[in-house]
Amino acid sequence: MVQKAGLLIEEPIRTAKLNAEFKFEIAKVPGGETINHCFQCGKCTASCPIRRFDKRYNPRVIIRATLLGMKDVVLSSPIIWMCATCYSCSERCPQGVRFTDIMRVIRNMAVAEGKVNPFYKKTAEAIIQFGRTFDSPDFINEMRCDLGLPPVTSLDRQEIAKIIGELKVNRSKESLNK
Amino acid sequence: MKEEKDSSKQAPAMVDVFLCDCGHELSRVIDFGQLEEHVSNIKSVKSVRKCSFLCSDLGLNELKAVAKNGAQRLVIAACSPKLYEPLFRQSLKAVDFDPFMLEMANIREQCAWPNADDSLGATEKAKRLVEAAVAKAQMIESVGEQGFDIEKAVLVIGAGVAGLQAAIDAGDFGHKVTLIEKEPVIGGNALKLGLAFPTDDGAFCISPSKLVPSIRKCFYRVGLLQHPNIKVRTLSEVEEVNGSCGNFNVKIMSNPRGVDQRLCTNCGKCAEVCPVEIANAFNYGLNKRKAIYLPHPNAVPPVYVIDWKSCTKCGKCAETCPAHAVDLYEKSTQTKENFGAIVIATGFQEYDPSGIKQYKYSVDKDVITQLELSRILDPFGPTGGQLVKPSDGKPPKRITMVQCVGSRDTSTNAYCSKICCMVALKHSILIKETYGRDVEVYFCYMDIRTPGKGYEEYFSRARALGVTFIRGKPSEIYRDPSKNCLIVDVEDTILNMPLELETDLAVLSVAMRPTKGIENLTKALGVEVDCDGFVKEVYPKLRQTETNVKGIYVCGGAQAPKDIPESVTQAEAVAFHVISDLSKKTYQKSLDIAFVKEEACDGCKICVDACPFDAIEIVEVEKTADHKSSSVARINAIRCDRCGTCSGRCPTGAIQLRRYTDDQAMNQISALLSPNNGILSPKIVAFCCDECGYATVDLVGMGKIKYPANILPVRTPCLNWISLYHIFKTFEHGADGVLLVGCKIGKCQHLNVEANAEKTVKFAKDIMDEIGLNGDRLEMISVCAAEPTRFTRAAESLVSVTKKIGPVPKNGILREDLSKQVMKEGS
Repeated sequence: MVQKAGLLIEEPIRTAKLNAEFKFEIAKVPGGETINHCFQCGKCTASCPIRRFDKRYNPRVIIRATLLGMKDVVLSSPIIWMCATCYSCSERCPQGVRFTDIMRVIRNMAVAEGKVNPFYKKTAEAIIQFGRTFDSPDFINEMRCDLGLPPVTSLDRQEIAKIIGELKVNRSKESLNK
Repeated sequence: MKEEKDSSKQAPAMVDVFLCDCGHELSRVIDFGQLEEHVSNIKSVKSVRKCSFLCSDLGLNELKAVAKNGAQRLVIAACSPKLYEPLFRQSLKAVDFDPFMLEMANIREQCAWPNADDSLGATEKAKRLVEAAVAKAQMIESVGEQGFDIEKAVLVIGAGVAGLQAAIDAGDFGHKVTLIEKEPVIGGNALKLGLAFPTDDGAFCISPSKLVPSIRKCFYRVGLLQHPNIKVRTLSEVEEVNGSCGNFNVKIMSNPRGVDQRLCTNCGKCAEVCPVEIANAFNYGLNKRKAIYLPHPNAVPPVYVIDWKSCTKCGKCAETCPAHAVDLYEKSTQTKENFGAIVIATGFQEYDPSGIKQYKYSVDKDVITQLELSRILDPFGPTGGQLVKPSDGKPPKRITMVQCVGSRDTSTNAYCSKICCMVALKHSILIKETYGRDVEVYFCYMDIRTPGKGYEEYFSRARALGVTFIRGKPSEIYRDPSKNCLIVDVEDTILNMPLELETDLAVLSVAMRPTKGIENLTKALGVEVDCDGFVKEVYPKLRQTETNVKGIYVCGGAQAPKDIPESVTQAEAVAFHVISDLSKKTYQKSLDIAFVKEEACDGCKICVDACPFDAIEIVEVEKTADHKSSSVARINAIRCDRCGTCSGRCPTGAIQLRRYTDDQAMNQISALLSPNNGILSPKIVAFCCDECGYATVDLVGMGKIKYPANILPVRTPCLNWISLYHIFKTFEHGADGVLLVGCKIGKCQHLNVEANAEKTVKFAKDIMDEIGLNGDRLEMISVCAAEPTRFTRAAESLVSVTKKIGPVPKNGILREDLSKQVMKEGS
């Protein structure tokens, strides 16, 4: 096994072990259509601000592994959760590859398989529980008060539970609880 | 060839000189009073006239008046001859004065402008340049013109895309065209290709003929046979070629077809009864055919043909044929015809990758080439268009394209074959669009090269369709018996990881090679080929379709790897050349070309081998001196391109270039270098070739870039004209240094890839070191006219080097006999 940009890949790569359908699965989902257009120029990686903080993070390599059909490798990697969705890559890609959107599709697939980063799991749980990524702590309201702003209104949690139900994220919820 | 006139016996010609100061532009630097005085004191000068704008109507009238008034030779000291020499010559011609009796001294671009900060030097240099021009003018001879008749017919060799296009264009214009093809059908590789990029329609669709419009559609191509001006001869090859531009005599050999073209109705009954069944070579052995067969349903002519190698002459076909078209004892025919021009359109063939053992071509049946895949994908092909593996006839699930097989590889062909990326992309798209996700396509490449209108779109389409691109050249292809599939070992150079690719069919994108047999053809035609065997063009940038032999043109894959659009464009360009050549009544050529002094010629053949234009042959003549027959060189006046390479290599001085004979040149050099009054010391003679060399020095002057006045430029033919004799004689006449300024090596208009001049310089330097003259006095630079500073740097450096070495020793080192000895060794 070799570490490539945060992906754990078996060497040599054997096409027999790859999933040729992976790229088509992604292309099927709205936002993932452009994946096949990539020709590996690397402008995405060169533009990525996350890469400045973590050298492992490399959008080009994530696409490469995806196009080769390394489904398990990509979905189980912690690296796919690092995208900050700044859209620099999508803006600059010469082939119109919407990498940020593709990242979302890939993350959703990972979630569907129960492969989710613990941090995201906590965030998701908070949304289900509080309707926000965090429950408004007192210090925020104190700061708002100092600035002359009204306190944060409390949320109707039942309403939020209904919305989440309507959005059919139950499946994800189940996955989350696995 | 006329013998050289012995100019020494006649009274020396007198010269009238014009000194043009370009509207006082030159007199700001050059002291014209001094110059005029100096020139009038030259013995052979009859008159000197100062003028201001010789190129104006007023000036030209003055020139004409002098020419009419009994002038023998004229010298004009003015701007570069490259600018107004044609104008002056025209004016002289208008008053019936031989325009060749004019010589120019370039005192603007090569004197006043680059030496503007050295008035003393520039004035002395101008004196030297004018005196040299006068010396040369004294010795120049009238050369005259010759007309050559032009046969109004063209031979096109090869009936592929390029040959067909050239033939149709020339035929539509009204010229008689003979189109010969060595195969039994026309179309070449296009007939095998099926679909073509960038239009995704038939490769064999060509431009319609204005006279037979229906032929655009490949299956109506048979209309070509009814074209009033085109005669198609299949199964034919060129045997022998004589003559030259305007009148080539060609022996054409036609092999027997065994079936009468006029009688055969293409019914196929002959093939039904034929008992012989062999592998179909047209389809690369992917299916079988009979000994009497039709290569392709679209075959033109639509006539069966007998494969004589496998035919047993059982006679069944002849018995069965309802049209009585079969003739089992047909003989080959030979004809001799005359053509005004010849077009080489012999196309390409695929490189045979069997030699690249690691790819197992011809070992494993499932390793094929792109053309074989074309045959498989063709609905009229051996599998009816069904994509199957040749090994077992089953459909493949995974296909791998392997790029650059035999291309970009110094052990096979170093060049890029240009079309393979597009061919492989076209096939990938075709497969993906037909079979979708049932067939995986892998594409192993080093670089994807798609420069062309609408070409990059193929790459985008292939990616969008889900073709998996792997950047890396496979190291090996082998069969895994346990899985019954091929394994392609390759490095994914994007991930820097080895990759094992399981595949059912490996398709090699092999290099394009010139067609087999092109060696014999080019030899018969006297046409040069490049190091890869393709026909060599005169100049890669501007004269791509002309060969070294005037009147012989090249288009399509015979010249270099290229695709259909480019072949068609080139064929159209060739048709233009042919049409313009044949439209003239005669071909007029001024005879300032090479000539042979037969008494001095040994018939050693050095010139024959050296001539880049195949313009010299050895003939037997009876010499006047002793009435004995001996071999001498003879110049073909049409082919000679005036480069002087023959003269530079001739060991006896027997072969000379008109207007640049050794005597003329040395008379000029002697005048250029005397007297030695020390003003221009050290004196450097710069021999500048007539193309980029002279142009570079002119451009330096036009840009007013400075270099020392010590540099004395001399216009010469191609630098290959320079011999050891010229170099050592120049030193003997008092030069302290010699600079040769020529075109870029291999990019010379005269095709001199061999760089004879470089060899001469190297050899001369060795001798100079040996005899104590110091080889550093001699330098050669290869420049293009857009590189002025390379010349000025070389000029400055040579002046400072010769200053450091000191003057050439006067006593003894360069005796006449020594330079003669040097000449002998040199040859």
